[in-house]
Amino acid sequence: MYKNVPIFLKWMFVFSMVCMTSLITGCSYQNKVKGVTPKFVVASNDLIKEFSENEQLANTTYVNEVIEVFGKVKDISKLNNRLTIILETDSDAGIICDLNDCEQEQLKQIKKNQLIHIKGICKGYLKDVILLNCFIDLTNQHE
Amino acid sequence: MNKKRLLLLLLFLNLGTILAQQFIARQGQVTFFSYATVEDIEAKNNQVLSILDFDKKEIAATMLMRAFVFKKDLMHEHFNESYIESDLYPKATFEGFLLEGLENAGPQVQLIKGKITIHGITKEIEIKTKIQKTDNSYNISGEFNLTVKDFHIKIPPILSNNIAKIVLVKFNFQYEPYENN
Repeated sequence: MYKNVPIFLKWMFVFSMVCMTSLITGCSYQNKVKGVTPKFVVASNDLIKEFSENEQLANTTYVNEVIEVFGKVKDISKLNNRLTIILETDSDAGIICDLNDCEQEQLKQIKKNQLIHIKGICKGYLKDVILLNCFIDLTNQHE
Repeated sequence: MNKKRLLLLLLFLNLGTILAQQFIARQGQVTFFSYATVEDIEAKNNQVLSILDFDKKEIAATMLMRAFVFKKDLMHEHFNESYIESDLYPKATFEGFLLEGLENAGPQVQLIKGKITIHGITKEIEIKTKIQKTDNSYNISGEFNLTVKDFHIKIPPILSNNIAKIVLVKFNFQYEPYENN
């Protein structure tokens, strides 16, 4: 039966399948964070404490993991065209959360001092802890 | 007596913080470009930490190698796992000093001399920088070239046409006054 199908159509089929899979995997990159249950849920204070007390240990625990951090919004910045939320801690260090580009709308609902939950990939610690590809969770307002 | 001492101490501490002209950038931007025959690669890090001390004419910067964002996932993976080995060398740092002070307030170009450490290898470097005073702080930007080989980064021969031998690095740091808490 397949012998009757022209070669052109066969290749069209293969090509479209390749396109489909690349589209799906392309989207899944974004969902790598959004759809994932975080490995850890921590308060901004506890996270900074763990990193400042033992950076190496905290690195092995958190780096390159999807984690959820909650805390008060210290600052919202649009420097260098990036959307960034900085979470407050008891010290002058903070949690720098670089938001996913899809979060523009969500960000409009965020004000300073608001308690929020943010999910992202932890990249490590300089003076602040750095999280990339972050998503805001507005449904969770609890500590 | 004790109170007086305390007052003096407080005054001294306050003076110290006023006189120490320190500035901090927590969201400095560093971008690198690799132009090669097969492909162009660009990666950005928007969370570079830098501290500027005009009294001592010192400048320092540090960044997480894992925080570089690439257009393609695979580039990010190769960069961290094969070339930079981020697990072993998670940070790149720069420590240097301004050759001149900052006597005049206008925008100016200055040479910064210092040491850059990437992939565990430290090199001396001179960087031409643009310094601009903003409201009550400073903006420093510039660019320089790095030779990949200098930092013992091994590129497999099969990929030698994909990655430039010399990489262009651009930076832009927006500082704010740094209050030591």
